[in-house]
Amino acid sequence: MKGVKLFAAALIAAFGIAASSPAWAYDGSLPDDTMYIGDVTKVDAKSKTMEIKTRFEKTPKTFNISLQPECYVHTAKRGEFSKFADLKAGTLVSVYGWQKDGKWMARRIATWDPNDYLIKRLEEDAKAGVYFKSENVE
Amino acid sequence: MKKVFLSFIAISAFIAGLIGVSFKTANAYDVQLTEQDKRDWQVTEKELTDAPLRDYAVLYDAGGTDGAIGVIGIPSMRTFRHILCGVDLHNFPFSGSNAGNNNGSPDGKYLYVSDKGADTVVEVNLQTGLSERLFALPKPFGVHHSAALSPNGKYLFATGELTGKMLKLRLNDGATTVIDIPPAPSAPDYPDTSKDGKYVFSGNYYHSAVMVFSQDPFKFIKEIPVGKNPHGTNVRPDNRFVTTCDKLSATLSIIDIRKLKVAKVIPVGAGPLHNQHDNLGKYDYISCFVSDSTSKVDLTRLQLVDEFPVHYRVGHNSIAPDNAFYVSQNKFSTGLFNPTGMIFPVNFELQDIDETSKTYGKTVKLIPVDGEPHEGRQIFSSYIQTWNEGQGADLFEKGYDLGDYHVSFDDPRYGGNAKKRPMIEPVGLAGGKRYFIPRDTGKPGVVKTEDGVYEVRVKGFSYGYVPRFIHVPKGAKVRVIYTNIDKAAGLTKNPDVTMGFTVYGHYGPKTSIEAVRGMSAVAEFEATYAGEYEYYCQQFCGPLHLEMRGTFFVDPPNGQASLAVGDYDKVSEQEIMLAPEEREFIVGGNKLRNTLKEGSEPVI
Repeated sequence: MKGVKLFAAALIAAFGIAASSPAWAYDGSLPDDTMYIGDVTKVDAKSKTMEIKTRFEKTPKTFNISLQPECYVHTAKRGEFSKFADLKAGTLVSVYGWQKDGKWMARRIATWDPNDYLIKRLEEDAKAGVYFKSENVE
Repeated sequence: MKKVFLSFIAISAFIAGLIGVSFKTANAYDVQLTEQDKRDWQVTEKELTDAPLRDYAVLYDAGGTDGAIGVIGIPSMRTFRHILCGVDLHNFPFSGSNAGNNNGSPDGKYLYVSDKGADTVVEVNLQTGLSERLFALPKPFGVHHSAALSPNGKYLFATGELTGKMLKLRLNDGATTVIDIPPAPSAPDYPDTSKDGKYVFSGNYYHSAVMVFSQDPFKFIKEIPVGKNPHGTNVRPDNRFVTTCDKLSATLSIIDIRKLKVAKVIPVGAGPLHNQHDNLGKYDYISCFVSDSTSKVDLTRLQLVDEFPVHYRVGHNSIAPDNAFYVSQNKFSTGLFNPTGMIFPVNFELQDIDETSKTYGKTVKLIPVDGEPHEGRQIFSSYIQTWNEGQGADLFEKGYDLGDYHVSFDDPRYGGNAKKRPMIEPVGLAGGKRYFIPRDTGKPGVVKTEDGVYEVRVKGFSYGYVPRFIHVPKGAKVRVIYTNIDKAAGLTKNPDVTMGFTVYGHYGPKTSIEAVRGMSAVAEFEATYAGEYEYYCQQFCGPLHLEMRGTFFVDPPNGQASLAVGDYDKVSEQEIMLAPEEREFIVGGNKLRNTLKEGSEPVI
């Protein structure tokens, strides 16, 4: 009888551990994500490509971004647009698009004010070990 | 001479006084502004002549029972205009792409709004501010939401809530694919598309599941069981999760898109209906009807992190394109405003969601709104160009720039004429007669009167109708007498509750009546076309409002109408919605049903 009780307790504990584990954990940004946030590291206005290094992740990743013909750049100023050629390395951006034919094609790029509340929050979270792309927190 | 001198002195003193007044007025602004002041353009503008009547963003809302799109400035919350579209509007995407959150990546050209009453989708040109084309949906269908574009913006996905069907619509010509969603009863509800072009997701409140379809070829894949009666369903911008509001479970189900199964279920407030992600998908804001609140879920931590009160009974919601404000689109306004008629007013409540603001979490404006609005989406006002100062021809000839992207209206449609931009006016009431009478106490059911009219007595309450099924013969003259017998009990407990009755599709513009307490509403019309048509409540009355449905059969001679038997080809022409002179601007209908070449209709 004692053995049965122990078995039942172990079973409940196992269920408890399984239920509390983060089922959503991923290894940070993935190549087929449709949105990234990070710093611009390279801009090639001629070929309409750029490189970004993701932020707010345990292990930042680098992605090459190509532009769709319809892609446009929003600045951090409300409703203001800018030219892709004016984008500078070091600018914090979020990019929106998708993978197609082996390339990651952006439809929209938005620059961010470092003082924006969402950016502040992501910074504080990352310092606390909570990473934006749901990496498994140790 | 002395008089002249005195006059000169007096005039000089008067002018000096005026200057003094204006200096005083200007100096009145040289005060220390609080953080709260800085958020209010009326305070921060330095010069009175600046008259800052422009808002940085515009909220478009599908105006429900007023059949119009409302255009509202953010953050002033002033209503700029209404754009007439039809009978009972529910939901729309902006043209462009679904990349990003619910506001998408707009190009500023159009929005596509579903009209549940008329069973159409109406194309509104944002630059002319007018309705331009009417998509006649194949019949029978019974659209609810048209919330989802493919990533490339060329296809629209809509739900046929009233017949258990789903639809893919090619926007350049109105060609469609329609698929059935068994088993009955089945109610595809609120859709969203994955941002990578793979899936369409839609809640199904009769199945308590989120259905998954592939975008191309458009076909059913699976159902994912979630909480009870799922409603608002949205995809996070990075395509990690689908979040769906489980109305009766008071939870938010978070579905992992890569695994197509539920990752976590988070308790939120009671009666969650719709959810809005910010631009990064960091936070998800959930409207909770029963608990009168906005719940805020952190999608990194997958935790409920905050809750704001609203006033009252929220339905839909929207978020500003810079994530600074959130609009709670409330269904009831009990006691807030002057009475202006028998139908209660609804309201929009602007909430500050900037965590660094001193008014964070507070209501900063609240306005009464026309109709009974459903989904709203917001766009930076810089997308809408200035055309009324002599630049009008540029709209047709040159287009406009959004940064590097040149947007043009070079979409030849009407006989290859891209420069012809229609301004259609779909009707709100056609071929019928509506009026109020003192509360009718007759028994529910159908009787044929001595003068040959089929008199239909219907009682409405939270949440249902008596009778549930109505049969009249084709060609009959019909008089619907609709009485609200709701007791203001249960979850709603609200004296504002109005009960609606609309027979969707061809009979939508002929019915669409609203019963307030103490009165009965009457609609008279001729049952011209045979078929099986659902009737539903178009005035939000509580969490199970959508489930308040019945079926109106117009039986053909020697038979009974069904979803397979009826004059559906004829009603799909949707001629009732536009004057004969405007009907060249109707596209789609049964003649283009299932004409898409699935598998060869790329969505990215």
